[in-house]
Amino acid sequence: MSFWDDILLLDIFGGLKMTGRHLFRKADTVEYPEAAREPSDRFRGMFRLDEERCIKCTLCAIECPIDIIFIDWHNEKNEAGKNEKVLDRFDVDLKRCMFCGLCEEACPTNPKSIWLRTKTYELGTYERNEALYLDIRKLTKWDENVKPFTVVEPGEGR
Amino acid sequence: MDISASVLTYFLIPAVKAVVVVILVATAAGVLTYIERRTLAFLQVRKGPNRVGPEGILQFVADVVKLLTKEDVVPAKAQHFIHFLAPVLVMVPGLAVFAVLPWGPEFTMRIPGLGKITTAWYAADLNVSLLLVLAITSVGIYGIILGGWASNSKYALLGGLRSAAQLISYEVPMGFAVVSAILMARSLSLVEIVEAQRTHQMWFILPGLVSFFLYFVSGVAETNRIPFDLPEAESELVAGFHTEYSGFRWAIFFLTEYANMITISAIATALFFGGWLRPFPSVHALAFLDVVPPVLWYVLKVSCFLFVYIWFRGTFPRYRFDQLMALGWKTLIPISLTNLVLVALAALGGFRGLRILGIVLWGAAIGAFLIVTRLRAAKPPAAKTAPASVRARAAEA
Amino acid sequence: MSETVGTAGSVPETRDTMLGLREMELNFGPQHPSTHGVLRIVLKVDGERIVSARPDVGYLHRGTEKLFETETYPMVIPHTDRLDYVAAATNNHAYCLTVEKLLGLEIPKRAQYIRIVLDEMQRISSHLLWLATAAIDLGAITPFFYTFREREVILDLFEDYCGARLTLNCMRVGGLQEDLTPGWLEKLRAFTEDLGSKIDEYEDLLTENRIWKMRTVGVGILTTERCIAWGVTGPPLRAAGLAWDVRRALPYECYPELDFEIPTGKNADTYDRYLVRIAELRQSRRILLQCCDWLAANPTGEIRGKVPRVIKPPAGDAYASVESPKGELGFYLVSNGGNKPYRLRVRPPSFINLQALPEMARGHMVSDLVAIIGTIDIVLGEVDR
Repeated sequence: MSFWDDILLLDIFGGLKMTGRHLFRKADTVEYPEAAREPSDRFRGMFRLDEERCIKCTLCAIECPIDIIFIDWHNEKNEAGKNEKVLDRFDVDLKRCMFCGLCEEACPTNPKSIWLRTKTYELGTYERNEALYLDIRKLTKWDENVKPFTVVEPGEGR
Repeated sequence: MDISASVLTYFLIPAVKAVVVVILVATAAGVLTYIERRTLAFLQVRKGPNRVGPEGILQFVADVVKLLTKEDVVPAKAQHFIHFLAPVLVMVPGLAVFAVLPWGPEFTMRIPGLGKITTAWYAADLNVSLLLVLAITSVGIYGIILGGWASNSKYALLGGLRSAAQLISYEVPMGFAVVSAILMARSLSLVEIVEAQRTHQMWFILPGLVSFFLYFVSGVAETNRIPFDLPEAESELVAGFHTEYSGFRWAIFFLTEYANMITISAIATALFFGGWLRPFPSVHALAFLDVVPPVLWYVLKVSCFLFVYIWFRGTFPRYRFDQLMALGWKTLIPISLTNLVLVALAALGGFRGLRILGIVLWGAAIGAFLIVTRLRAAKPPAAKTAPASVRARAAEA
Repeated sequence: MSETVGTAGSVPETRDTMLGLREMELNFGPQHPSTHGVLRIVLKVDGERIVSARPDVGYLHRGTEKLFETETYPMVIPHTDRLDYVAAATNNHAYCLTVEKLLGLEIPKRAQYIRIVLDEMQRISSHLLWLATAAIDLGAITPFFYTFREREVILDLFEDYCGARLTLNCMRVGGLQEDLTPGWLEKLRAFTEDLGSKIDEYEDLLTENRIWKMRTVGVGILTTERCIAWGVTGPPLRAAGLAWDVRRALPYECYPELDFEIPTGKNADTYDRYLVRIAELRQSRRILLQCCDWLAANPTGEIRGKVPRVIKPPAGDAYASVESPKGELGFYLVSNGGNKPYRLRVRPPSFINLQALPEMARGHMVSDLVAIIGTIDIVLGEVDR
């Protein structure tokens, strides 16, 4: 049996048939700039911060495994005469980020005030030191730095 | 014939043809790279190059421009002259062969001021053109060996050596396969071989089933294509003999490989598939097929072979060096010798003998194929879903 | 060819061979198309025949094990993603199991099942990647695209579940961070049911193909005894005929409740390892289907056990392992009672399997070396750590 298979090259023809059948199938390619995939709701992409909601607890900076979140704050008396934390600096060194999402998990506010779950993956720049070092100004601007930009509120899609 | 006419016939027209052939071949090789990438992509459920020009058709132009403007790096300790010579040695024979490829029959055209001129769709019709083809294509391998050696790189050296071994092993069965075609046509001229298929009223694939198979397998090996692409085996030898080549020297190797593919396909067409003849050249009922000009028939047939080349590349893994040699020496050469004896005996019987041989061969092949596939369908092999342990045991039984 | 390049400290032996020619020393990698990253192998070849092969690792060394000691327990998990970066879920799993063992935690049933689902998805995707690269190493370029088509679906499912495709960070000490998204299970089931016919396609291309068989049968034989002597685990060991699988031998999570077989080979060669991996794809598919059934029948439940707010395992040590796609992946944890590991040692299957390479490659040809590297299924992130 296998002798005749050998002579008649059945395995060879079987393989050719297999690939030949694929010749007429539709390509699975997504042609990127024209047609982009929509990331899932839980996709971990670009950082964003809600400064008003943030309680300056620095838990995100503590939980970050590679220490790329830098937070400085000082106390100020507000109108009621109470101490209030005021941010001096909230920087994320995005070029070192490994997108693990532990910062977002650590955030104690509800809803979260720091997001990694934005549907943004187009982070390419020509100059990484400036563009990928996010200071408070870049972190709180929702639409400018990167487009398309949609935010999933934490809690959604769970 | 006056002097101006002979200048025209023996100098001017061949010169024009030579230039046209070189340009056409270079372009065709370039286009073939695009077609190959596109076809491979379709085999692999993806799209392939589709950005440069409509449907990416200009991709090869972009590639050539890129390669021309690329830095030409020569390793410091390379043998500079031979390193330079190698691509030339590969390219010149690769192009020279095209002089004798019979793309179409003779035809007459009228050139204003010169009168009627009879010429043909080939640059030259030598009475030993097949011999010339075999001789010239073997020269090309020197370029590969020398290129591999002169690069002063171990990977390139291994690639060059593999190439030498491969050539020696596969020239022999290829030669025998070609000889069987010569026996059938009783001529060494490619044009006459094609014409013989008209007078015999059949393509030589009929009696030459085995010869064609041998020729094509050896041809794939000669052109260093998968599954015989050992000299440049990417995953083993990085890029084989052209590891240390870049820029346009590399492009010359690359384009010549594609030109050689065209050569092998063109000769296979001429020897076994009736060259420029339409299918069943003697059946008058199919005369309407003559609407298609002979050259187009030829190109069509060659394209089919080229597609098979690409299809092979999309399907098969690569042989190992020693397995390739074993296949050449232990399988193909004995088969080709037996086949040669068979064809010679049949050729003694002339036209009728060849026809009987053809019917026997094709009958045996188709019959055995049907029986074996029928048997296979009746008794399915060990279920694919069974774990390997089960399958190993089944294979043992 | 007068000089020998990069002998890496060793004095090149000059030995006369058949034709009175010297052996040639060949640097295979670290920049080479089929070394699966940055593996370097110093080869001594006689013509094309390998006299000796010495793997030289460390080009991807990142000091991960030392890095673990500077991070608190939850912060280690993203780093484990980067060991075997094509099978992040099993890395997470092995680490979490170790910490849970030291903490003595109880994992909710639902979390266990989801973990198994993630593990088996990861096994399928890793084996598909292996098949793709191993086939490309042997010159078959097409299976790559077919397997990646299926792998893409798995990665999409991972993205749906945890937001990342490769470095998942999907498990937590004590269970999981998140439950499945609605509709995820149906997508998984559709894919899993479809997978069987896709595996048939790969087999049509390769299993019976004479060239594939010639290139793999009898190549790189490593018998059971030698496997055990080298500590080789995973598909290479099972292809040698020993049905050792951590999922059965040292059961974790609820694998004992699931019905699956451990495929084994007979001849301990590259072809059997291929068959074993293909069979494992089918077994993983079987496990996935069972898990889908269970999860569909129990749509709600806890996904995280009673984990203390700050994870501080008691002083002591623990070792736990999982069956990663490459073999037995273990973590050995020493704790001094603090919130950071005192020492965390990885038992990387790729690294240990790679040790057997010189023995497997000796006497074969350079082309076979490529097949052998492919069949060990190494990931340099795990080898070098």
